[in-house]
Amino acid sequence: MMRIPRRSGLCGAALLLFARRRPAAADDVKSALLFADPAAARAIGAAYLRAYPNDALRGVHPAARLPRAEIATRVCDDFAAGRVAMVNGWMLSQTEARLCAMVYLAG
Amino acid sequence: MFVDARSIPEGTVIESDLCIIGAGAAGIALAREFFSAGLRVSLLESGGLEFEEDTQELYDGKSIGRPFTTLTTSRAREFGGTTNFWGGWSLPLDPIDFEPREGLPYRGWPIRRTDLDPWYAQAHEVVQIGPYEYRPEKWGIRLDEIPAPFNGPNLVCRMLQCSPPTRFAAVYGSALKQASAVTVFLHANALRLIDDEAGRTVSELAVATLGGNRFSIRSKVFVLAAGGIETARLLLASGKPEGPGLGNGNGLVGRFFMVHLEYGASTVAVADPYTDFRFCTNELLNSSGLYYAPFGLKFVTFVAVAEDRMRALKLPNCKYRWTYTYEPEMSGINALRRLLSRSSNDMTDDVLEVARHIGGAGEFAFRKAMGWPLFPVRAINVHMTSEPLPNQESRIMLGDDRDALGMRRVVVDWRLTAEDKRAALAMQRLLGTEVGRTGLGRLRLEMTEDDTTWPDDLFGDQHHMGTTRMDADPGKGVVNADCRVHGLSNLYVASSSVYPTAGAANPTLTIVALALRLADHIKKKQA
Repeated sequence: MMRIPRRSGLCGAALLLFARRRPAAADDVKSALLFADPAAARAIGAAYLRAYPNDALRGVHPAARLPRAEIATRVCDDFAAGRVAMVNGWMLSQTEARLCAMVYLAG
Repeated sequence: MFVDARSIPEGTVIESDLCIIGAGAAGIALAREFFSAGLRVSLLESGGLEFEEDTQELYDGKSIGRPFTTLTTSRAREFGGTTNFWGGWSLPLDPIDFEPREGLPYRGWPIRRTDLDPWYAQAHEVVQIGPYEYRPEKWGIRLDEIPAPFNGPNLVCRMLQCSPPTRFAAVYGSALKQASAVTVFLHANALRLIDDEAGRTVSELAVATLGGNRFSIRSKVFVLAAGGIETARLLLASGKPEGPGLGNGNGLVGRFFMVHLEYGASTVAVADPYTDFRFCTNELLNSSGLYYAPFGLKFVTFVAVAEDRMRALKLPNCKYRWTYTYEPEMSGINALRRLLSRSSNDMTDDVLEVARHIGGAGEFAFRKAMGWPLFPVRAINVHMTSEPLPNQESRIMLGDDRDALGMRRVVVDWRLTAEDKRAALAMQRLLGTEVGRTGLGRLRLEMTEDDTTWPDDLFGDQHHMGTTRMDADPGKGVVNADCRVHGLSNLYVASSSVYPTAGAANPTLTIVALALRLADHIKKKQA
């Protein structure tokens, strides 16, 4: 029987497995911001509303209607412009914090 | 020549041209410059050739401010001084560290970085590091592979060089022993510098040993090279009895005591676990042997605030360094590495661990074959070295307690201000903004956002600075640009105590550069 060198075999296995990498999110904030975990987003949203009770979200935040790429742009713009919110120690963009708040308010 | 000062008869007066007090990095670097200068040099060392507990105990004192508990452990009272346990990290102060800065009081040296550049280059030879070159790209770091935001414009990759580290006693001891011009007095403790009637010249140094004998040294020139705390202590203990101390007419000796601030500041959750952090040769990578070494020597990279940004934000200097928290599959990757390198202690366990994390282990093997970043990072744990702001209330004083030689012990009143804390928070806000803006991840602050509370792991490191600060104006500094004590014609300081600002650079290289510059000044003056 032909023997496959151990190292080559593992590389081949890696090639097969590479496509099914699990999401990188491993903690609440990461999950929330990737919108992979609504529960995490709700928790962040609740904490944001506690920290910033005067932020009147006034219905659906305009960002919620935007495509994900546009949201990402807004998030970058927020950071660049200093529009950040401190939520449980995390420094978040105002847009993403408000989106989490919307997820929380939507139940 | 080495002389054990305990054998010198009581009351002896030794004549000398240059008397250097302290045989550490500064004192030894200075003395080496006078091997063939035609001067009689006395180099005094409180300790011997080995650690001695009773000598080290002479360092002890009291802390009355922010806890400062390392008086006897952060420095070494023996031949070679603190280079006996120095870590070896070397880099020059940045040009901005020498500048006066708007919005940051008590800043600005009377010299510029360019004044020190030639001496830094020479100091590199003394501490046995590579060329005077600190651009990361010159050391093999590919700037185009550094991930945003660490590739500018606000945060930049920087580097320091690693001395072997040079143990000055071992490396330079035998040359000092053979040098006919230099006499090294071991176990010789400087008690008091005595000035003349007019108070313009130091005429004599009173010396004592723990063996009980006392003698004195007369010299044309005296240099204090006893470190950032003992230098101030000796000046305060010197001069006329009941006087304020030598060079202390304006009450500045011992003030502005600074140490670099070390603390864990934040965690950054990383969006892409395979972000390319290979530019960052932190301690963890170094312990795995992954140095970049185009010169055959070692260096360490770190992240800093770009000078323009430092100016705009009115920030003091700092180093961002970090360790990594890896994704859970790292245990499978480690097991795979052990199997591949045939270093597994338990092959069954390691095979099972690989199986449990087969995705991560497989990806590791694939990435290794492709030459890509190998390890899945979940978060980076940011550790700061930040520059303290000069504060005249932070100080070294003399207490009422006396040591075994009858000398008054030091009292350390180490203080930090609200501005220090605000600067620390601003550094994290900048990092948080930048990692968010570039999509690298999100920052979690590990500090409270008030003006006074610091992380529990805050400590002031062994870099004692500022207690005889350099300024052209005697009303603002203890020494002038030549490191000469204001008002005294023949007393100089070779120590980090002359730093008016601390920067974020480890201080030894600058201490040596300043000592070499001082040697040149003294030689020219004596010629």
